[in-house]
Amino acid sequence: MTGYLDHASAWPLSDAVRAEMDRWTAHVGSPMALHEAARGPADAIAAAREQVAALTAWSAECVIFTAGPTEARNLAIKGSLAAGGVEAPVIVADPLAHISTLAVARTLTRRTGEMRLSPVDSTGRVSTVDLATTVTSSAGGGANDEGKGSSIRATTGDMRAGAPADVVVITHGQAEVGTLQEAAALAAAVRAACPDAVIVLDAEETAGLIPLDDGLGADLVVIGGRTLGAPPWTGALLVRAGTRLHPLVEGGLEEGGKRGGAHDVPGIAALGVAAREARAGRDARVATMRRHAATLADGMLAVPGTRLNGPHVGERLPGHVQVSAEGVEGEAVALAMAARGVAVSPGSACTFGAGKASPVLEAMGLNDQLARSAVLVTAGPGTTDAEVAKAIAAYAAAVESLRGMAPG
Amino acid sequence: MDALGTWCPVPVTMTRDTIAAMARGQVLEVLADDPMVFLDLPAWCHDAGHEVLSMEQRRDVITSLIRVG
Repeated sequence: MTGYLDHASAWPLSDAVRAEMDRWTAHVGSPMALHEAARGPADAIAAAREQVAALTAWSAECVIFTAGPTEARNLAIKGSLAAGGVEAPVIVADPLAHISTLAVARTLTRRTGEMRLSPVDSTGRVSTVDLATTVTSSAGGGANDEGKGSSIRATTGDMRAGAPADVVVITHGQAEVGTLQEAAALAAAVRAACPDAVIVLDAEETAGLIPLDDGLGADLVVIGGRTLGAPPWTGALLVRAGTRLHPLVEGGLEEGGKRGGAHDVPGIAALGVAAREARAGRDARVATMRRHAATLADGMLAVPGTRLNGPHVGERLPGHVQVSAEGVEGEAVALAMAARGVAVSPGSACTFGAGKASPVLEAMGLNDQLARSAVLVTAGPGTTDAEVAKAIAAYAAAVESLRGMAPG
Repeated sequence: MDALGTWCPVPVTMTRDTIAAMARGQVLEVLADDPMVFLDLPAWCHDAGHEVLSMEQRRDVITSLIRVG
């Protein structure tokens, strides 16, 4: 039996989601056509739009389907700045933001403008006071006090240094360490301090698991398919009525002119079914995932010389556990667990191939060895007690084995 | 109707599709930033029997009011 505990990378699809994908993969007919064969795909997209919009309780018109959450982040940041005619943007995020958010911000502020990163504490949390200060002034974003974790402030260009933020990205759930931000309070603090800023809520890790009613106060909400139980290459940007946005992918009439190109009908239809299932089963899913995470954390932390990174399991993303261990490398632990039939990730699912410690863990104040030793174990709603037990045993054996091989 | 960031004929086509679901006498506000809408939108409205009540540009945004005919 294989233990699959890498839901941070991909979730299994439900029978209904897979059937919906199969149905529209086999169908011939563009949803934009005028003939009868268009009706089915067009209706499927309309139904999916309703289901995805319901995640925020906004109307169906708010939904722009994208090829995954990374495109949605790009569209949110670049599209809102283009619509506002901002030439020297001030973009605010935090050091735990998704790598694509940070990449977009760096690109847009490479020559002019400013990128600011709000401080985080040792569990990765952003405070309303720090964020309100960061969005209104360069000076607020650079705290680096001992015991408060660390923060990074990258300022490129000085044309608008100190100007109020144009775009603020709030990362609701952090993929590596599981930190959950008080997104509604943070959005309210930004709105009070900087009323003209466009607020982006990155809900890739929380959609379907945590309620997102009214976008938690944001103007734009990034959704990914994975945590809903849809393919990870599906996603959407949800747009509060009245928020102005230019397209990133220009084309024709698709998605109200905001995202050109042929629709991925199987993916969009699957996203809609998954969103419906996720909303209907949310409480049960979250309870199962939290129970597994608590068992995993207890079992893995029983190994001597280990520590939990990020908040307590009851206060973080459901199903999410990240543990560091003295004297081992996270990649080696993940490979050793794979050899024992358990699928997990090294500390960062997106950056482990770069051969360096996660900047997220460094920003939270972990030393280099502990940051490199992190392993990410993520349970899903279908995870079994047997898989959890197998993962705990595999982790203990892997760490013991690797420590035994280390030069004395 | 928000057609910001799109180029003609997309704003006109979006206007056509939106008006198709509206009743005679209702007024549609169209936001666009392609200057071609100054030419294309009145021309299409004339052909389709709708009335352009106003077209104003503030910074880059052109706001058009159209009464459905």
